[in-house]
Amino acid sequence: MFDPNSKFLVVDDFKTMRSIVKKALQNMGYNQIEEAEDGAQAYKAITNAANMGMPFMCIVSDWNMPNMTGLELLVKVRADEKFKNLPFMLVTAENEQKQVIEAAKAGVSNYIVKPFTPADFQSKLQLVFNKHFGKKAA
Amino acid sequence: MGAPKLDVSFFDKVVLDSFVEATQKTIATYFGGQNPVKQNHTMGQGLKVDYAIAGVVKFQAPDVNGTLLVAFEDRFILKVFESMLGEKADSINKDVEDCVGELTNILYGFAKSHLGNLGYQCSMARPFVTREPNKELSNLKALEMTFKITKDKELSLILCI
Repeated sequence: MFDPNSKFLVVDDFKTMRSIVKKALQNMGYNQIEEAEDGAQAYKAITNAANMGMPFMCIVSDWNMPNMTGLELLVKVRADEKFKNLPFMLVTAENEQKQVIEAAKAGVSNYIVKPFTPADFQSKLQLVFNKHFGKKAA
Repeated sequence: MGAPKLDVSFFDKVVLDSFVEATQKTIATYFGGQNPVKQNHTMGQGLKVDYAIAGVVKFQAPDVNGTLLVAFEDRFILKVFESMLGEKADSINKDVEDCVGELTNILYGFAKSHLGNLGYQCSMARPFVTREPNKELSNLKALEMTFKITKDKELSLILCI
């Protein structure tokens, strides 16, 4: 699993869901968690953190947000050479086949459908980690 | 063959089942695993609804332009808020309003996906929250579904077109 000092970015326009994800991460022992309210704000935070030499290790982003959606953020992140391998989990209220395909094509590491329990979240985060760093590192 | 159309003129079973399943799954996840039981549903025009707070989202599909209201009585939403976030609120505040918005988003998203996977395409919009007790939905056809969670806690789902 991710190192306990890993830095996470939680992106959602609803404070409630940011708090739920943040609490799930804290319960797993992670304390370096920053928040953003939409994709545009998140992209700024991602580039700023990288420029300061303290990059995020994983992005957990809602899909449906104003200004810049989670999918648009993912596309933007993957288009940047620096972030093309950045672990990226999408959180979505929708689970339609066409959306799953769209997210996979854009390079999502994994996705979780709301509503979810902390245990569901932990399992998905483990899959994200495995995809990027392999099971042996876990 | 084109995509099937929703027969919301009298809210067909597909629509009803999608929202029932969405409500049960959402509340069970965030309310300590308690499965809400659907009590009844009423269809009609000129429905009067009484709630402390409600999430509202556009329910749009080809040939359908409707609204979904997820209406909570105050004691129930305060309990759900506490259960979801582990924080107490004595009355409805900004954070509770945000929680109602997110619950509406989750519930509608779940039902939308269920319908979408059956071939019924609906669009997703951002919900907003309203606090207007004794609202009369005068000119709208409405379907109200009531769920009982515990002895004295109820949740209503109202679909209007």
